[in-house]
Amino acid sequence: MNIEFAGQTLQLLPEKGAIWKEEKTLIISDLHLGKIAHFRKEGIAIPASGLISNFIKLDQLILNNNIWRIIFTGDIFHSDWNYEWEIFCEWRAKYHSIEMHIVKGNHDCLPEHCYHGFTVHDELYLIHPFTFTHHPSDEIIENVYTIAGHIHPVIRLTERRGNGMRLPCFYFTEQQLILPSFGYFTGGYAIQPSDGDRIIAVVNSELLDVTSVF
Amino acid sequence: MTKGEKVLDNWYKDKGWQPASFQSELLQAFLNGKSGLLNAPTGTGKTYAAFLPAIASYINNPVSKKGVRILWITPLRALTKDIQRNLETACSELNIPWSIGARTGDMSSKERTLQKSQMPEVLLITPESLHLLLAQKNNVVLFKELQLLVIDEWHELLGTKRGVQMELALARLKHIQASLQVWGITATIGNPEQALQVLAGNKENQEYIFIQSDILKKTEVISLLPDKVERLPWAGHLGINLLNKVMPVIFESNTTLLFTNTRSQTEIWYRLIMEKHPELAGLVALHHGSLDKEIRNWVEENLHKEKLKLVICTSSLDLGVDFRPVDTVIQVGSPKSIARFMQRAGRSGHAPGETSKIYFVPTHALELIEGVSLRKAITTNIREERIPVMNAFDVLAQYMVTLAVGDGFKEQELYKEIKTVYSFQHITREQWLWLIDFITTGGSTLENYDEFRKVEREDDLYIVRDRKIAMRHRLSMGTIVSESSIRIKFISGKYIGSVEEHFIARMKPGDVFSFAGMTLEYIRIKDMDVQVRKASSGKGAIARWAGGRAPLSSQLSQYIRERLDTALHDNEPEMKRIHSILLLQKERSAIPSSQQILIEQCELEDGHHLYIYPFEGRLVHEGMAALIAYRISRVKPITFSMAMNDYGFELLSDEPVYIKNLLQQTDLFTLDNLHDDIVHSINATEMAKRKFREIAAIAGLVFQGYPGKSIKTKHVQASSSLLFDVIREHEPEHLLIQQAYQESLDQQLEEKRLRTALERIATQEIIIKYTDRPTPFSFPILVDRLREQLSSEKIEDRVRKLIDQYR
Repeated sequence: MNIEFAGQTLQLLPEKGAIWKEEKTLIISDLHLGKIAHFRKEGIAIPASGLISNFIKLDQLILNNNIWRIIFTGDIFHSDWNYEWEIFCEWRAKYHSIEMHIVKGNHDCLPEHCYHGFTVHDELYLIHPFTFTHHPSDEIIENVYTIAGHIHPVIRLTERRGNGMRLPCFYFTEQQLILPSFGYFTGGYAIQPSDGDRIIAVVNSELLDVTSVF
Repeated sequence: MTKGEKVLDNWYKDKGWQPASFQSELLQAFLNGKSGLLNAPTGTGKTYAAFLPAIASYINNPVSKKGVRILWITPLRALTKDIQRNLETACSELNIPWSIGARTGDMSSKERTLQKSQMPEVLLITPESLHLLLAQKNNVVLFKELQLLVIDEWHELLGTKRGVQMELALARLKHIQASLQVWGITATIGNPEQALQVLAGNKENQEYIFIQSDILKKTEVISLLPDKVERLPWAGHLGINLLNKVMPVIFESNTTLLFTNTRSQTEIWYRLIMEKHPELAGLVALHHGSLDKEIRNWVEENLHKEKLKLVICTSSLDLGVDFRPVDTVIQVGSPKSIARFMQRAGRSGHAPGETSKIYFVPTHALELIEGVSLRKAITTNIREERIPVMNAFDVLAQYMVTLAVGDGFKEQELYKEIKTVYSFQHITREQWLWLIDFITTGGSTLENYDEFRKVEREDDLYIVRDRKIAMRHRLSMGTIVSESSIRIKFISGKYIGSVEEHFIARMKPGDVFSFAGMTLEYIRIKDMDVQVRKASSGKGAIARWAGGRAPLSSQLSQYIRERLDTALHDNEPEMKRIHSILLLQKERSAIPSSQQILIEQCELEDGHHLYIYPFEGRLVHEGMAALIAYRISRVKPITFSMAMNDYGFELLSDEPVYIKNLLQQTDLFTLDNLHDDIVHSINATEMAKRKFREIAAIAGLVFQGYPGKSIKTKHVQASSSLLFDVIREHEPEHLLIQQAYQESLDQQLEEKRLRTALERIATQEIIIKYTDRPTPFSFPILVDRLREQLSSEKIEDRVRKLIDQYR
């Protein structure tokens, strides 16, 4: 599904990321690497094989879309250093020709030297017409569209009988796109859209515009 | 007669009491070293029946060694005070130098340390606190003088995971103290032999006996009859409309408990009574499980002090200390179970020999059949069964870590012990080793990397060395998992209670709602709490809570089916009052006898309705509706929407279904392929996912934190549904995932009961009736469907119109 902004095209991915077509740039938010390892370290038995899923998904996106650049809009790593970061650095080394940018999020508190090989931006990263941040912003900058993450938006749909579903979603407001969390093992926050917002929900491997439901 | 028996005998004589036969029986059995189960109604001396034999034994063989001699398990902390007082009285009158102590989660750690250095001879304790003792270092010492274990209100534990927790602790204590005598005390239940068997465990050469009191508690049941009934009944049209019948009962009584079946109903009744009778302000209180504990305690205290005229409550007051001022109980809506009805009735007229009195208020006319059935049923000994929970691997995993936090365990030894536990008698070696793996290596691992830490293995000892892990485990022990709800607080920070997240999600700042008997204005959500202030005026929505109503029990449903045999010439007042309804049912369709099953078909504007009435309760009907829909759709592709109540279910389709032809082609009710058909007909994964919430918390996959303790847990919190998805994808054979599927079939669908119902239907004559209008049986189901689609304000009008239309 493609979205146009100021002559630029954003392709939304059912894998829960986006591609800026003209720039061959993959945008990934809230990867939360290290979460599974962190849980295991704390004695909570999540199957360790789960953490490989993130890398498989990233590999496929890079190969299938001829990606030049990746922008991680924050919360790339969940906690204190653990071996998942090591796996991630090995993975990064495989793609030395790809630029990788990290806009720091509230979870990203690894020591500086860990980010070797990445271009790190503290608050935001601006490439016209987009500004990439971790935290959604209330500030409106003219002719600039914000792409953010942080809240892991999910939309709650209620069936006629029985229980509601929670679906991860792309959440568009007038000046901003909030990306769903890409991470394999991340939860979500149920948003309550206002008039004029647009919601694209991820249903398994498909994207569905559910704006009209609200 | 031994010396001890003589002392007791004299004590009885001094008091002018005659020991009941069950008391003497238990005394003999105890002195002969036996264990067992006692069934006696409350208020007949069951506490002394279990306690005094231990005193007699002590008089016969006085031992001066310090230490706990008797462990007394109660399911409720609130019960300990009353029992403690009773036991202390007996000890002081009989000159027994024992101290009676209680150990509960409420105690400060200082008190607990003090207690540990000087344990009382009799310790009152909940199953949870007992497990906490087992998580202490060197706990074996605590139990070395233990002689008797009493499990009070065993029926309350049996059938729950707390019961499994109790079974595990029981096996441990029997292991530590081979000569331990165990006595359970239970109210009347449908499966006393099994309840006894669970206490005895899966071990040979144990003598456990069942003792039953011959005292029958007198209970009077009075249905409050509406002056007139509508010919088409629907759920909700009575109830609060019977207020003018309910109020005189309340005014004539000293103190009344009014039970409703849901928390929302308590709020509705409270609001209504306050509107109509403002003079009662201050004399009426609310009590339900979502209210802050402080509020509930306040209500309970004031019940004791006779300061309240009326308390509107849910099952939160089913159990607990006796409120002596209570002389009247009112039950609004069918309690759906004979045992629950008896228990509530028993909240009045508590003293031995007194009669309990309960008024039944139907919420719709057909419920009056349940009123008669309940009155008939309680004069018999037929009660619902409490089926013990089997293979609760989540509880076992927690327990294994508990022991590892304590003194550690040896794998082979513990395995043998676990095999003696009733719940785990069928555990396989493979399952056991999976659990060992789960707590030591965390199951599936990555080669080269892994830092999983929980239980460590040192030679053949499994033990937790990490203090942080030990502490987190202690804080998260237990099997009661709180609902996913959101806390409600005043801006000042004062906590009032909690409601369903979904209810709050629909609110906007400024919206008004009723909660805890107050009208509150929603201000904002802050730090995952809802902040409110008291609203000056207005009448808002009633707060909602998750959790459905209990379904009709199979024991009660049988009474109802049999009642229908004589429906039209029944002399019971309830049946006479609904005679016109039953007559209309017969005119338009038929009243099925207990040998028949009724199917109705009816075409209305909104489609083709198919109604089937097994009278088996909502849950069974939910499963059966899905099953029948699935089986029909295999013969002919068709989509249905479904609705159900406790009496029957509806399948609604756009195209007609020719049920007569269909039944000739295929047996829709067959037991063949039942399990597969069920799994195909429902969304088993969604159901299992919901069950997994509790399992994940018990097994330690989700750390809930602990009330009042602020511990940093943010980085290790994940929702159970996320865990479910991840684990299911990577380890579909995961024992806890399997357990979630099994539990959803057993509890959510009541698969066993569904099977029994189908077996019964196979012997019944099928009657098919075509009607041009809804019947008294189908109308309430039709209305229930509307209720799902319409807001509550509109429903009244809509139903009035329908009644006119189908009159």
